[in-house]
Amino acid sequence: MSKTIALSEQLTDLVRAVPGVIDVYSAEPALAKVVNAVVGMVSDDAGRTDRVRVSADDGGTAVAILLAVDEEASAADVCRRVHDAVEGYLTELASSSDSPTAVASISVTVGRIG
Amino acid sequence: MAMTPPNEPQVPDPQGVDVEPADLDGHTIEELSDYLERGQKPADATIDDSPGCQIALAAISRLRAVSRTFLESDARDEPDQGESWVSRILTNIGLDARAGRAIPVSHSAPTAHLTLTEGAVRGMIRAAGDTVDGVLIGRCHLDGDVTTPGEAVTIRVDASVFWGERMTQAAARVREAIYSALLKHTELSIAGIDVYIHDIYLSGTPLSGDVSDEIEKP
Repeated sequence: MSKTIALSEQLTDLVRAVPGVIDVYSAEPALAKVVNAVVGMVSDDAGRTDRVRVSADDGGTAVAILLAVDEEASAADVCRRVHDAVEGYLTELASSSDSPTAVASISVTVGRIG
Repeated sequence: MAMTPPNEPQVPDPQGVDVEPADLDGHTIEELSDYLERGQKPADATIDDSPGCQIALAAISRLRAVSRTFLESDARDEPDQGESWVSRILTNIGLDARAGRAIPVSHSAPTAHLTLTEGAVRGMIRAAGDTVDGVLIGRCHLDGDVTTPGEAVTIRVDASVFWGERMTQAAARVREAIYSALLKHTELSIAGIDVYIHDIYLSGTPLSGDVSDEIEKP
């Protein structure tokens, strides 16, 4: 398992645990989702847990998250809580790493409310 | 009240998630309706993993629950009539559930790029309006530049009411439900909520007309 996929799985679990989050969708481009769905039919890949998109380059680590928010919570507040949880996790990870990577961006998109 | 024309530059968010702004991740409203009819089996990951499809499925479920009695009546009396108004609302559900524009959410961190999709907000508005007894939301528009924080935005909602409901009171309840939901979930600067009641349903048969009930700035 690559480092990126492992981090994606960890962040997916982290985001799911944030109060107000009711679902985490795959943040991959639509075409990739279709390809994965087709591949999933033959390789039992439908239950993938690396739903948060993680990419890294010289500028640092970029994270993209697409989620659904409980109607009872404030979508804007949940957005901020998710960002802060991810930022805290990445900061802690960097502090314990021999080669720390900066956080380039954390993108949180609410695609559904309720 | 003068309306700002809808401004929907259907472009993906360049920094964030690649949501498909202009459609329901490749699905049609008819496919989603059939999927719901089948009890969402066999599971289709391209539907289950699409926020737009999930918004549309929830709206179709509400429409079915509300209209069941009327549809049964129409099936006996005027099957074409009943089918047409449900079809019209179904089409609008599909249009509103598209991701659309990215609506910003503020955060002090320079790394933060937080947004709500326009589809999520329209879906939330539709759900809020549908909670009002005797009312069905037909179409929902966010008029104005929702992508710029602080810009005035007017909500425009087309609704139908059932016979026996007082239109002015029904429109006021819709407006209150929508305004409350917008305040809770978004940072939009709401200039007004206009509720247009287009149809009155009498045992499933819409009376033609275009009765506008505009509600000024809250």
